[in-house]
Amino acid sequence: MSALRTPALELAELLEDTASPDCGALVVFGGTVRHHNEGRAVVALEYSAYAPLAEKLIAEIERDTCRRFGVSSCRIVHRIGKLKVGDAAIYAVVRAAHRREAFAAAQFAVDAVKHQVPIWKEEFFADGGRAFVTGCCISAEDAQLPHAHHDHAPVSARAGKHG
Amino acid sequence: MHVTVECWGVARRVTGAAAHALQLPAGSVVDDALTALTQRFPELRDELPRCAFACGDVLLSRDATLVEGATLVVLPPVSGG
Repeated sequence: MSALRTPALELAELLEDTASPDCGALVVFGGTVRHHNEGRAVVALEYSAYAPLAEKLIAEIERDTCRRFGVSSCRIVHRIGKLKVGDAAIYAVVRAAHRREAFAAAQFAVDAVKHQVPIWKEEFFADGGRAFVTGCCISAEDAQLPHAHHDHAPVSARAGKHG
Repeated sequence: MHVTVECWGVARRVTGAAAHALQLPAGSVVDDALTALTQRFPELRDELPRCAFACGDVLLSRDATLVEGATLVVLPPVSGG
C-alpha cells in the first residue's frame, strides 16, 4: 500500500492493519500543520515527493525500524499536496510487546523520514510569501554504502543540521 | 545524447520548470549534466552543493555515467514530516 497519500490521512486504517494480540504497546506519532514557523504566520503548506525513491525509502525505514528495535510493526504514511493548518501531514504507528521499544522505534522512524526521504515542504505565509523549508541534505555517500540506513550514526549526525 | 533533468523542491522553483531537456556528449556523467544546466540557470549553482541525485529509485554520485534517454532527478534537501 502506498505510503504517500493525497487524501486526508486515516489513522483508523493504520490501527486496524497493525492490530496484534501479542502487542501491549501502541505508539502513534502524528505531525500536524502548525500556524507559525520561525516567527512568520503560516496559512497553508504544500508537500511534494519524488515518489519512486520516497516509497522505497519509507518501506526500508519501516523494515529497519522493526528489525532494529524488535517491534512487531511499524507503518508510516505521509500526505502530499496542499494542507491547511491542523491537518495531519504524517502518521507513524508502532506496535510492540512493551512501551519502551515502541517509543524508541517511533522516534527513530519519524527522524529517519525527516532526514532521508525525498519529500519537500513549501510554506505559504499570511503575508503572501511562500518558501521551501530549509531541510536535510540526502547524502549519496551514505546511501551508497551497503545497508548504511541500518546505522543510526548518520541520522543522529544529520539531526544536528536542524539547528 | 539526450538526457532529461527532473527538478524537485527549490530546484524546480529556481529553474521555473519540472523538467529540462539537455543534449550532452556520449559518456557524460552527472556533473556534466549539472554544468550544462547551470549554464542555462546560473542561480541553480548555489543550490546544487546541497542536492542529491537519482535515477529511478537509486541515488547517484556526481561521477556516475548517464545513458541515452536517462532522466536525472535533482533532489534538494528534504523537509518531510
